[in-house]
Amino acid sequence: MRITLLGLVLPGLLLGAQTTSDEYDLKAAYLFSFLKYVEWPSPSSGPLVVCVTQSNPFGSRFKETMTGDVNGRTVEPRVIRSPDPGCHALFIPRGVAARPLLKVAQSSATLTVGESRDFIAQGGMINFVMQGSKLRFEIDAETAERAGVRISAQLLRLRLVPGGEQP
Amino acid sequence: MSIRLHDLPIRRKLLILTLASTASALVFSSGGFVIWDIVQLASGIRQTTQAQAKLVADSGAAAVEFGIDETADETLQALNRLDHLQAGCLYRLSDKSLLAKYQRGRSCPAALPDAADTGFSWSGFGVVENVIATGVTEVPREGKAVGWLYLERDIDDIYARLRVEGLTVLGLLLLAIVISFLLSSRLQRAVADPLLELAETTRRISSSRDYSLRAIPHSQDEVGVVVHAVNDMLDRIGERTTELSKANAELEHEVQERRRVEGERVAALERERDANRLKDEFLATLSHELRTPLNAVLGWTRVLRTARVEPATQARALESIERNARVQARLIEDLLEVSRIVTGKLRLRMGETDLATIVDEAAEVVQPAAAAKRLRLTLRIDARPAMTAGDADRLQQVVWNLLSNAVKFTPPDGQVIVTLERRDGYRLTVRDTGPGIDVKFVPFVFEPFRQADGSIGREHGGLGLGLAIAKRLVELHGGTIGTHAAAEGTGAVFEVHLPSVIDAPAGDRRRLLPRDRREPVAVGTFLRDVYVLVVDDEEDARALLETALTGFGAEVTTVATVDEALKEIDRHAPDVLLSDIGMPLEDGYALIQQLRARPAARGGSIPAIAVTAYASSRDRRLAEAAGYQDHIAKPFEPADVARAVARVRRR
Repeated sequence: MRITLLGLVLPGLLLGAQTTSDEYDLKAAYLFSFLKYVEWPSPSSGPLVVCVTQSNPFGSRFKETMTGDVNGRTVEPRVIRSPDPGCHALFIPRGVAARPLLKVAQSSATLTVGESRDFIAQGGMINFVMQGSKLRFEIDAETAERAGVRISAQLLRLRLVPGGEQP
Repeated sequence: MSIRLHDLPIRRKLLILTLASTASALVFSSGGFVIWDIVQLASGIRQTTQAQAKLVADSGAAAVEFGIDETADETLQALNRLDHLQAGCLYRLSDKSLLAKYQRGRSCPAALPDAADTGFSWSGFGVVENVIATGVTEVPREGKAVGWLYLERDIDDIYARLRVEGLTVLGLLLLAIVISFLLSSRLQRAVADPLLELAETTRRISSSRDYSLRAIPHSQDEVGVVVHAVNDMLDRIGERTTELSKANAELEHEVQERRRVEGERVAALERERDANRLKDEFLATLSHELRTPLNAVLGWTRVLRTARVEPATQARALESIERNARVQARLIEDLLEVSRIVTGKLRLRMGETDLATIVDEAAEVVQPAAAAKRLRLTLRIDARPAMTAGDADRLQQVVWNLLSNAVKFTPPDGQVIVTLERRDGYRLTVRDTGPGIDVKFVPFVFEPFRQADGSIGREHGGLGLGLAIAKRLVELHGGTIGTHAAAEGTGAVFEVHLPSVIDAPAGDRRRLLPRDRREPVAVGTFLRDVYVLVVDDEEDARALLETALTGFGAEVTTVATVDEALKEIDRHAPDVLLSDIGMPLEDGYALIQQLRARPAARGGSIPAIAVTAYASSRDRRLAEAAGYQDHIAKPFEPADVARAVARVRRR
């Protein structure tokens, strides 16, 4: 049921990202998909908590997308007001002060995903970048490694290298 | 085809069998192996390809999931390191459209192929794999598909393998056929040669019918068994053939034997018919010969009784009656003689005999008859005396017969020459100048009842027994008698050969002659003072004997029965007893037995003579055995009776 749902939702998301809502639908889907290619330090059981700051740009779509399970773990969406070390992944939208959130995340092995130009520089791990009409992303594997979050090589191969085109 | 296979020679059959079984065994085993190998190969291919697909799918999962086609292309580029892979295609999850492709020999379908259309086909092997995102550790695990990978590879390796294996099998097949051909020619020799030899032997036997041929057993297998069986059969056939030909020969022999017996039977029948004809002729002749003298006797007797006749005529009549009666007696004597010859009862009284004297006397006997026909009778006797062992009476009978025949058949003024010479025994030849013997009749001259002229109107009388009797008598003396088959008209020649010679001086010649003939018989005085008792049931016989003996001076009493005779003897014992044998009530044997049972004082030793018509030599022996001193056959010569009476009385 979830696959079907995903199958119905993703194509539309991938094809067009003209509007803001379309863009965030795609980003939500990407965010969910990133979970598959990431490994956290123990415990490896229990729900995977995906968090978003209070300014949640996804709206109601966030909870709709973050359902089901990944690699045998239930996905649990959570909207946070303050830094939460219980998050496995945290989306930090544009315009939100990232530093305090990133600091907590770095120490609690939280995968951090952002969408601002200097997000990687500020200490984020994955940063969405619009390249034409296509949604791409940058990854700072070293930051993630330091935080204890392991990112799959497959995902790494898809990243944009900061400041230049990937060959 | 199968019929043709049946008709093929055994060698060819064996060859085909060997090659076919070798080839099929090889084809099936190697075919099985090839199939197994290809299935193994195919399953290996399936596993490998699926593993490769899994690997590629896993490594490309993120690229598919996030729709990054250049990265997907990159991922697919890894396929170029894999042999046989012709195409690799990644399809999106959303609409199953083509996201990335790697094409070497084949091209990617625009849409994801149905899983049912994948797998092995003649052109290659296709596999669809779910693209599943894996975690960081890339440990395969359950997950949701994010897209599809379609891989297609050629199966040239399978074809190559098939080619190699096919060629190998073909090569092996050829090699196996060559080897099995070479081996089978040896096997053939082991199996087919004995069979062929057997077949050849049986063919030779059936064409030549020589059942002595045998097949040679070379082995102890079934062929050997068949060879032994055939040989056994041949043995039996041979035995049966031998038996059959033996049976055939026996049958042949039997048939010939039967034919011979049949021939003999026919000949015997012929002889019997001939003999019957001869007997008929003989009976006719006999009847005639018996009637002829009877006619003279009865005729003259009637004339004497009824007519007044001149003394000269009376004397002639009596002379004719006596002569004819003698002829008849002679005939009967001859008949008895023949009977004795036929029954083999003729016996000789052997003694030393002078043939010369016998010839003299025989010539003396026929001399009057010869003189009557003015025949010249010449005697040429070289051996004198010519002593031989024999029965004088019988030998004289032979000579007399030959001489009287010669005189009888020689026309007047002819000549009869008698020759007696000592040459290898004695040879007596009687030669005349008569008509001779018909050449055709020569072989039958000495057979009884045979006469050259068997017709009623024949010229010469006689029963035709004389020569048969003569022949038998000569043979009884160990001699032979024969006649030369001279041409008719040159006269007949008879020759008698007697082998027995006794080199002794002339003995008592009187002994050789009939004794009574030498004794003078004086009428009226010869039996003077002799009392004779005559016993006969027949009046005529009694009267004749009484008259005859009275004529010689004897005193005679006659009685008709045995009883009367015994009474007469008691009353007045006679000097000599004359008795008939065949009488009613008691016969002559009874009389002599009763008489001989008496003491001499009562007449027990009175000399007795049997006077009977039972005239055979057997009758004579019986009479003498019963107690008679002598035996006189009826009809008798009165003088003979007188001599016999005188003789027995003298003893």
